[in-house]
Amino acid sequence: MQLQIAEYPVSSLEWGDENKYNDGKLIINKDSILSYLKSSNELDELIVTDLDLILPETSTRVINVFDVLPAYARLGEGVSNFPGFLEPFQIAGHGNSATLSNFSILATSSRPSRYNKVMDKSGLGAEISPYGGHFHLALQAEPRNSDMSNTEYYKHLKKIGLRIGTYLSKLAAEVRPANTLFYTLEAHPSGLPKVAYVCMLAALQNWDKGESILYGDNLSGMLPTVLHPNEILDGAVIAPNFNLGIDTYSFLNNPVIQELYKKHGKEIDFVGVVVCVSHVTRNQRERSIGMTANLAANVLGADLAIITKVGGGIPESDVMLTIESLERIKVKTTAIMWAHLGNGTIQDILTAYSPAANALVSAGINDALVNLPGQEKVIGGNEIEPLSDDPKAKPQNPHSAIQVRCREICGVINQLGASRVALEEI
Amino acid sequence: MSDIKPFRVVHYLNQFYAGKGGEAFANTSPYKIDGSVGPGRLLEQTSKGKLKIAGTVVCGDNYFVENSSAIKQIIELIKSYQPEAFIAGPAFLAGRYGEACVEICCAVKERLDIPVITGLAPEHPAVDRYRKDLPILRTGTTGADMKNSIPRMGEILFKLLQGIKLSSSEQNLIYKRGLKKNAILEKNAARRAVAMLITKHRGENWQSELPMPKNDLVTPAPAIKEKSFTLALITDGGLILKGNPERMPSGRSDRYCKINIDSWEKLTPEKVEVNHFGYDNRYVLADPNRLVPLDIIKTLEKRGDIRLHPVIYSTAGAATAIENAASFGRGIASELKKAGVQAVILTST
Amino acid sequence: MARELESAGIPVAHICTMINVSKSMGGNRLVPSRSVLHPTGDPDLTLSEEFKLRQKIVSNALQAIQTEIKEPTVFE
Repeated sequence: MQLQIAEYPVSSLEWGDENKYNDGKLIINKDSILSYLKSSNELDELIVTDLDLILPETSTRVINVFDVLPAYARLGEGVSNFPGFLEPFQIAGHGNSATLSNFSILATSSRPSRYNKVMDKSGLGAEISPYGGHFHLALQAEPRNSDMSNTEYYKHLKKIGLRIGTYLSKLAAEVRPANTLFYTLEAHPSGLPKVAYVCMLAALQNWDKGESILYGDNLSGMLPTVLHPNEILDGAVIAPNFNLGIDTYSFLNNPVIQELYKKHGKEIDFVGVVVCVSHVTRNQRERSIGMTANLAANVLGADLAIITKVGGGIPESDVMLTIESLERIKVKTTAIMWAHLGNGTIQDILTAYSPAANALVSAGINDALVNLPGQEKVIGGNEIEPLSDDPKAKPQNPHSAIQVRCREICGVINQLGASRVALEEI
Repeated sequence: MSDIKPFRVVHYLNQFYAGKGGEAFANTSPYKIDGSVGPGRLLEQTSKGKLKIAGTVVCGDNYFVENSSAIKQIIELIKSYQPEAFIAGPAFLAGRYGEACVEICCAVKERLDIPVITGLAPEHPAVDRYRKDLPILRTGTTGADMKNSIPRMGEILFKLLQGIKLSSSEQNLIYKRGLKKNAILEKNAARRAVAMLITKHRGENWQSELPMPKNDLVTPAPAIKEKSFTLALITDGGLILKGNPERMPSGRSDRYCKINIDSWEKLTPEKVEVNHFGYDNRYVLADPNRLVPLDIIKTLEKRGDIRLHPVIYSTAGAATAIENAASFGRGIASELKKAGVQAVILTST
Repeated sequence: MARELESAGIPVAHICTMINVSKSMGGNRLVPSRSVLHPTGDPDLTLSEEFKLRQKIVSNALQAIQTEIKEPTVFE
């Protein structure tokens, strides 16, 4: 399995009469995007109410962001993009693809949710987010039928965003890329420690059976399985709707996979990815944790494993049990874990602990409060839904200075490890 | 340095380090000496003119712990020198002396509002209790470490006086306060995790970024022997009265609410609901007895198997913050004891 | 929570799925529940089966309260 991703960095972005990518300069024609969406039947259920171009280092705030999506397309005859979700199922991970780097699509939601996020393009919010320097296309869309369930709405929203991304990437792919990345695991060198990546895809504590996560599957009753890392880089996984500290962009640009690839063949032998979910019943949890550890240790033959999770609470307990299971069979582990503010002390960080978890890396304190300065331009709605739990809390004015939890800023708390924000003891 | 006026510092010592004598003089009441004594001289020398000890305040170890007025007398003596900063000890692993140092530092900080510092060995029990409130230098266990400790304390105190940020090596000389904040690191978490994994594989030293809390096992409470006993129901699944009149937060809560269920036969969606951000609530919303089994308990109560406490205690957050859980755990425990409750069923999501 | 009550001498039957979490936080009398989404129920069962399940879980809890233990113990 060999994947070749051509990267097209974006350094300027504007509307224009034609669609054009040249040397970092991206010009988009709004009408042609809308007619492309129409012709690919993405507008049967939703109406696009607004498309906006968002530039870094401008006083701009995008609110009610539901997901951050990549501009990514697989290239060639007969290939499926986001197989099983956007286009028909086939195995992803092999062939040629194109992506816009330093660019992402912000799918905003018109429905209130405590999981919606903000993206600031100036001030502290931009400084601490891995997406701070990105150019964006912000998408707003409404269901034609207001009875549409949230699950259906989110699904169509993601499809439109991903569809726009394929369109723009294919457009860029007409010229020579700035950079091409090769991903292959072939030629496993001997003598290097074998490393497996255990990647939790979803937490079923908060989930809907209408979701599409892995190749369009909802992962109900999922047993752990093995994926080639290229499948994830090439669009096999869409972020679940319960998206605390994750987004679809960071699954495709999975920072753990990228880093393991960098060391592959030099310091380590990257042997594959075990994907799993955090289940809700005791039997399912035991089975899933046991099988995950066994796949990593005895099927992939790993000496080392790196674990990431999604959600909080139960998944934290699952990661602890997975670490215990792996360390017991002599697989050394590290895991990326977010932290909770709790009472503010270093003693109170996680829901679950295990003495075996002696090598944890921090993805930051998810609910630490940050103050963001006001922004002149606001996209994605007229008010920010109350983020506190007080039923009498009022929506915040999105133009003014606001206070949010870190996890409510796109990308700042990234449970896959893309952010540089980390807990520090003081 | 000669053109800079040194900062005026007061130094606290016990009877031993002040040169008065050992245990035989541990009952000495507080007194002062102008200028530096013993370790204070070393501090002045090594500070190269940056710090000047205006006076040294001395108290016997036993006098300090046995006389509640000691601290007041000591503060008055310190005040008389109008110091710009205060240094106590270091006390290394000395029990009473160390307690005196941290308590006096706290009092000086509070009443005089000037920079303070003391020094203790890691094993000293006062470290954990005071690290949150005071800069405490990490020292060796005995006076043999004086030559290392006192110059460091002077250097750090000087920086505190000038409002200069401590270097990272200096920060490591001070006990962490045991608190946390978000910081921006050079590399993202994925890169750090892979690097840590390789380090761990090589058997080199690595340090987890999330330390495990100290955990002590709890001795189980004795079993209930009576045939009929008083039982209370508690949940951390976010059960609230319909409409959340008490405005309970939805996760990792620092509060609990009480729901009076005396006149109810079971929990119904008309009367209660759930506010908890961590899980899909729909099954519990449809039948709240799936969270707190009130229906079964009520039938047992009717049969006379148990007596039910008329109030359900509820909070949000499975295994919520340890300290929070501990504090309201204690609150609930004392209320229950007063009400004669003998046992509890706790349900968690 | 369980820790504070148990150390105050009040026996606590802790009905939960995350037995490891409870144990590490000082839980002593552990009663496994069906699921984190419905600790004392199961929507996949008929109403009468679900009622029986709940009876069973409660009876495990009462047994836990009435059993002398020396270390964290699971009752099921």
